[in-house]
Amino acid sequence: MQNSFSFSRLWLLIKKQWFDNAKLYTLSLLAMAGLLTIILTFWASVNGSGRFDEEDTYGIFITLFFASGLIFASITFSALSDKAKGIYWLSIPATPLEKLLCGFFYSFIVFTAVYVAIFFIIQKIIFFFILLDPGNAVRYVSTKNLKEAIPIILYFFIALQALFMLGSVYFERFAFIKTLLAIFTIGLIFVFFAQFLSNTVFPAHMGVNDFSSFKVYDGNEAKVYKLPSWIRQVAVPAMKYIWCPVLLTAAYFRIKEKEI
Amino acid sequence: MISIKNLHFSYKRKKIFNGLNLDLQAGYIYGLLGKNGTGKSTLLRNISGHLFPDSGSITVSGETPQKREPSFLQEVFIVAEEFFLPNITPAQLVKYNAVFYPKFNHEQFSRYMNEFEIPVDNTIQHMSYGQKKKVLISFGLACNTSLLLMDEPTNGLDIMSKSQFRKVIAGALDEKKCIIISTHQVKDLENLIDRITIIDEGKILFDQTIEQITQKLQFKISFDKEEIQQALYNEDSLKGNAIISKNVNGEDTRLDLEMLYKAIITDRTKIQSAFN
Repeated sequence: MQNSFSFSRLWLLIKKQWFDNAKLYTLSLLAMAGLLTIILTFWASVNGSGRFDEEDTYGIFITLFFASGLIFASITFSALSDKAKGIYWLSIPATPLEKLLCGFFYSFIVFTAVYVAIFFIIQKIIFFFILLDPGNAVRYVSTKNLKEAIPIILYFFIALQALFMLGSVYFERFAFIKTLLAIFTIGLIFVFFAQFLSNTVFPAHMGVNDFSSFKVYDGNEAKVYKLPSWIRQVAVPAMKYIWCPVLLTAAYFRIKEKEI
Repeated sequence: MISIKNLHFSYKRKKIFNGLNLDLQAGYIYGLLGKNGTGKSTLLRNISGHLFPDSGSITVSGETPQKREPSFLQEVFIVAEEFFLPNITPAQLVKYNAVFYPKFNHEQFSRYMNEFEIPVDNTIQHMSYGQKKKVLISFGLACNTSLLLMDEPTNGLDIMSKSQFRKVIAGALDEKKCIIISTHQVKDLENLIDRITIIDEGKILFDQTIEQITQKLQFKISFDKEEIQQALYNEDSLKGNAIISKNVNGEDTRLDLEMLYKAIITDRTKIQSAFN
C-alpha cells in the first residue's frame, strides 16, 4: 500500500467526490446558469440605446465569478465542521494531500471551467437575441485586452480561493463570513503596520516606485534610491505566485491535524 | 493487534483518560461497556485516528492511527454513532467507495443487505435511520478490514434487526479480524462478545473474557437467604433473587451481562475478588 501520493487514488477520490455530490453540483450549476441568464437578460433589456458593450458583461462575469467561486471554495472542506461527515471524510483511505488536491480540483479547476463555459454560452445566446434587431450593435472587447486581463484575474482568484479553502478547514461555522472578516482584520492590521513603518522607520516624504526603487523628496529635489534589480525580479513573481501554495500548505497541515 | 499504553486524553479541561492501558487481539469480538459519557466513543475515535492522544501511545497492527495513512485507513472501519452516508444508492456507495478497501467482498455485501432486508435500489436519503445504519454496517463488514469499530451499533435498530445484527456479526469474525463494539445497551451484546471491557471515568473497571467470567462466576436465581447474603451481587426479581456468586463448583451457568455490568458499576472490588 502506497502511503505517499498516488495519482490513481486521487482519481478515485475525484470520482467518489463527484458521485457523492452529483446532485448538489448539478443544482449549483443550474442555479448559476439561471442567475447569469437573469442578470444578462436584465442588462440587455434595460439598455435603451441599442449599443451594447461586451465589456459590461465582463463586469458581471468578474463579480459573479469571485462571489460564487469564493462561496464555493468556502464549503470545500465543510465536512470537517460536522462530526458525522467529518468522520466519513477523514476515514477515506487517502492521504491528506490527495484530499486537499481533490478539493482544489473541484473548487478551482472544475468551478472555473464550468463557470467560464456557462457564462460564454449564455453571453453568446444573449448577443444572438440582441443582434436579431438590426438597429442594435455590440461593441466587442479586443482579444489583446482580454489576454492581458485573464492572468491577472486568475492570479488573484486562485489566491483568494486558496484563502477561502483554508478558511473552510479552520472555521467550523460560517466559514465564508469568518474568512471575509479575517481578511478585513488582517488587511487593517497590515495598513496600520505599513503606516507605522512609514511614520517611524522610513524618511518623511518618501514615495515607493516599485520593489526596486524609491524616492525621497527634499524640498524641490527628489533623490531616487535604486535597489538591485533582482529584488524586483524575485518580489513581483513571488507576490503573484506564492499565496496559493502557501495557503494550500497551511490547509494541508490543518487537514492532517484535524481531530473530530 | 491494538496496543494502548498510558493513554492520556482530555477535551479542553475535561480529563477523559488518565493513563489507560489496554491490549486487544485479533480473532475476538470485544464489548466496550460503560455509562454515557465515560469515554467509550472517545476511545474508539482515538483508535481510529480521528482524535489524537495528549500523551501515551496507540498502535494498531504496528501503525500509528494519528498518522491516518492510507495503509492504516484501509484496514480500519468505524461505524460511528453519528454517521453520514451520501445521498446515493447502496449500489453506488459500493461502486465508488469499495475501491478504497482492497479486501472488499461484493458477494458478502449483498448477503448482508439481504439478511437485513434492505432494498439496494433506494437512495440512502430515503431510508429510515435504522436502514441507513444497516447499510453502513453491511458496508463496514464487507470491507473486511482487520479492525471494525462500532459505536452503539444497535441504537435505532428494531428487535428483529438487533437479532440479525448479532447473527451477522458473529458470522463475520475470523482469526484475522478484531471487532470492538461500544454500547451502553448491554443486553444487545449477549451471546456475541468474547471479552468485556468496562470503562468508567476514563479507567478500565473490568476486563475479562467471557470464558473466564463463566469459569469464575455463576449467575442464578436463589431463594436461599444465606446464599443471597454471601453473593457478590444480588438484586430482587419477580422470580426470586438474582445473584452473582463465586463459581466454586465449576457450574455452567448462563452469563447475565446486564447484571454483571450493574454489579461492577456498583462495587467492582467484590466481583474482582473472584478473579484474584
